[in-house]
Amino acid sequence: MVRDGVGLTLPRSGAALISERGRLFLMVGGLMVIGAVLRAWSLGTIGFNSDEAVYSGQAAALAGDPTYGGLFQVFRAHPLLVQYLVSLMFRIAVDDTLARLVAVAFGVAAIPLLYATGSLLYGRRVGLVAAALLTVMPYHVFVSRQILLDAPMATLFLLGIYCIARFVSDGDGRWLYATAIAGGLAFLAKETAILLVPTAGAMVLVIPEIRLRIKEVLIAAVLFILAVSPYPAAIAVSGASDTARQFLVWQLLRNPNHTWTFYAEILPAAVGTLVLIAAAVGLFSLLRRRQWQDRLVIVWILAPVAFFEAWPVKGYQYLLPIAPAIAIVAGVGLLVTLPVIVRRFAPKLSVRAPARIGGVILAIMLVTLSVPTVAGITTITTRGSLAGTGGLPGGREAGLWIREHVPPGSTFMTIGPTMANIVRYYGQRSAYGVSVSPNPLRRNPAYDPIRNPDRSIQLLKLQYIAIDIWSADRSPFFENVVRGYVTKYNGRLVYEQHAQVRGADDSISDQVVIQVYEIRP
Amino acid sequence: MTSASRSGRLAAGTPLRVLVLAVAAAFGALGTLASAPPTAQADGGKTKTPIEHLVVLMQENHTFDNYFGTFPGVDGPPDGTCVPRDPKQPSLGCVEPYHLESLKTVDLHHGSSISIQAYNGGKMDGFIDAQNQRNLPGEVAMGYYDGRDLPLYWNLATEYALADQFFSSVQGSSEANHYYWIAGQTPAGAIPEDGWAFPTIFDRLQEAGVTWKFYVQNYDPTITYRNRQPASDKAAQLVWAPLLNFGRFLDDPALNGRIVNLDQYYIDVANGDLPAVAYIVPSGASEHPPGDVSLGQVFATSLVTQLMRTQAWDSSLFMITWDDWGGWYDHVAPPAVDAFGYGFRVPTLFVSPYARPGTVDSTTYDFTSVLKFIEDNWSVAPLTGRDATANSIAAALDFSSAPRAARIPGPTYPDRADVEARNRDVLSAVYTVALGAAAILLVLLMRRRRGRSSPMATGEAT
Repeated sequence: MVRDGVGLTLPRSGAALISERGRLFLMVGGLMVIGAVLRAWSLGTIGFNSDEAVYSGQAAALAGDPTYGGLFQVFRAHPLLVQYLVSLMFRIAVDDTLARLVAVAFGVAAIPLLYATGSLLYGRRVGLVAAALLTVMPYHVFVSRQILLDAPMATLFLLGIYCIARFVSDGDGRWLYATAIAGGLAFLAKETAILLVPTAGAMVLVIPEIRLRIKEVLIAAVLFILAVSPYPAAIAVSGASDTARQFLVWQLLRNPNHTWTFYAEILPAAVGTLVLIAAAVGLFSLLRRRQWQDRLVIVWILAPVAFFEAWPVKGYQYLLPIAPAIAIVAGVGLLVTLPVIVRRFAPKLSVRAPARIGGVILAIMLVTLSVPTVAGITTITTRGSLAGTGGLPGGREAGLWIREHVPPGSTFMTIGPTMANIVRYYGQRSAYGVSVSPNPLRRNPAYDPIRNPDRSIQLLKLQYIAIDIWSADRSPFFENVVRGYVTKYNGRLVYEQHAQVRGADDSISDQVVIQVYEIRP
Repeated sequence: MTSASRSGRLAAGTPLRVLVLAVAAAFGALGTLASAPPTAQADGGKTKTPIEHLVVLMQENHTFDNYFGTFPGVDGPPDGTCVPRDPKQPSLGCVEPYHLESLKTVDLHHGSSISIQAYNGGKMDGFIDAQNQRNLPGEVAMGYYDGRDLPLYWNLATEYALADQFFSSVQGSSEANHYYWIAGQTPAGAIPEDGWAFPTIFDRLQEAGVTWKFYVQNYDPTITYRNRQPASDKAAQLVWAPLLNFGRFLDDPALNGRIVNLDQYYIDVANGDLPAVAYIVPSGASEHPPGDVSLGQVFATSLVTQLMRTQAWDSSLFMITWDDWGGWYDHVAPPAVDAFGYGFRVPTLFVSPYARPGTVDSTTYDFTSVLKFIEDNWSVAPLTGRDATANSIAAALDFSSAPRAARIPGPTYPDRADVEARNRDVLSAVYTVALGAAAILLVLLMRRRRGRSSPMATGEAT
């Protein structure tokens, strides 16, 4: 018999080991199947949200569709790895489900990768528990059901962490090179993955077992630079260096969109309260042990949390890279810390009791995670729900009506960029949000403002107005502004899109979610 | 380029109709046919073509060369065009056509006497001198606009049809041409006490039970020939809406009720009440110098856009034309069809689901070509010899294909530019190479680790 890294027993003899591996293979495979079902179930039921529309529009443009080429700039501040992969799907057909399957694939790939990482750090059972938690975790499922940059980035980030762990455990420089490449790919998915660099640096500082050779570091640096080079190449080719600079300035100077307690508020529901409790318990063990694995995991969690707490802009999906780490720590809490606590406070219980208690708690955790996950997939969108949590009900249907009924060449005014992106993607018509500031320091440089709405309408640069309740809920002021133009310029309601919407009081009702008006000077 | 021979798509008329046409041709410009009762068999709006709604907007005072002389594929000023400052004194040099920097210019003289001077017996070289003699800056006449200034019009021309041999009906200014537009003739002398009596196309339509309306921007019903004040700043209403100089169109409610304010156009179009024939005249946005031409194109395009957004689009022809030359240069000497015309070329756009994209129609037209189309399409009798013998504007359209979906003209010209296509290909190639290389390298690095000893590889310890 052997003891794994956290003291749990596993069979060691040859035949038993094969059997164990077979069971693990089946279990991880089973988790992947469950993860794939949860992530792909009813994938195309609700149309894209604003960000999905942008990335898919860029992908369609990259795939050579001239219509989208005129509506979506290829370079809009983010790197293009995900859009490039979606563009490969779009060469088959421009389809919502095909696009989202790219994110689903990355989401499912994270499950065995987390198992491997957890196993490497704390043994197979922790790896298995962590992978199981991630499989049904609402946070990971919801984000990887959308064609956002975050799920692919988080999976590649996890690959980078795995490579670092292998580098530490093996002491072989090739794993450092693999880390550099994985980090570069993660950066190409979303630039915030650059966090992997300071995270790795912090690991070097706090893990004395890491011994770096200058030659290896230089080679890794070159590989990282080569891996990320498509990003500056995209900027150069697109002639968008000004846009890139403006984007950086805008990000640095943006007003906070949430309070500093934002992540503390969303994480319990997103990750699971029991998971967080188990992770807190596990963290206790990590802080006591302080082996290289523990330090690595603590840095893995702390570096992104510290960065995104300091960063003024907060987003639901931004902390996704630490979700696997939380799952691992929760696994440690369940399999390592819990037995210690049980033995200490209930020494008369049988030897198997801690494992049984842990099993029950794990089952409860998986059920309590699965229920909101399944509910989130199947139920109706709530008014005021956070960006990044799902699609935009009614957006696709309204956009397709626009494509069918509004003459090509028409241009829309919307409350904000959300509806503008939907109109552009599904409606294939130009659209601009009134809430986009004319001040370049106060807006995303990828968006063009309507500098003088009256003049634009009078010069026939705008012919339609689309009002959506999602933007109206966020910006009542700009909703009033837009409705003012409807009145002022002979607005005529030509289309209303209805959808089932859950209100703040949890009641479900059929509501008008999007209105389309004709306007004329 | 559309051939002039494309005309004649309308069904042949009845023998009686042929006889009427022969009579009309015989009486010709004298207009004696004008008083004849309509003899064509009318059936209340049934059309000979898919066009069930004809909308004609008459803007003001520009020649073809002034607006579209540099448009691709048209009969524009030939290379080397240079009009002498004074045809009698070549030593004073000449002026080539040049791009106007201002959207608002001086109002050049454009009456019949100066047009004859500019025409100069067909040499088309008196444009500058004629203005100079009237103490106006003659070189301005050589100025032109293009897609930078008139993107909406140029985009409409790109997407639909542009006529480059459309002549004003008479050598002269607005009033006479507007009369030709509605009646195929222009009256002489002072308006009689009961107003003009000769028939118009609207009489024909009314009698045939075909719906029509005459939309007047900023319409003031109190301004008629009966209280005409030439010095009034609103006197132009009587020039541009000549029906207000006919007693019966003022006194008969059935007729007068069809002369309405332009606001009604938007209501009618939105409600599906667009009449079969609609004439529109502007007020403030006419493009008549010194007005801003960009405002005029916005005004005109807004009318077109409104139609494009309705189901009526599929069976409509929206025609935008300009009433006279406005004093601007045009290089084509107009054919002489009678003692009065033709006048110089004016721009004309045919916007319709049956206008093939980018059509440049070189059929010879004048304002009576509109009458000809109405008469053919709704089976009403000609008014004069002019319209009876004119080419129908139906030649600009192609009824052999299904109606095309409308396309709203963009505010910049050219409208659709896919400048990023090459960049996208380069980016795709860069990402393909980078991703492929990274994936291969990662696999190689990870594969090499297999089989090696790794003291901490599994995290397990004995």
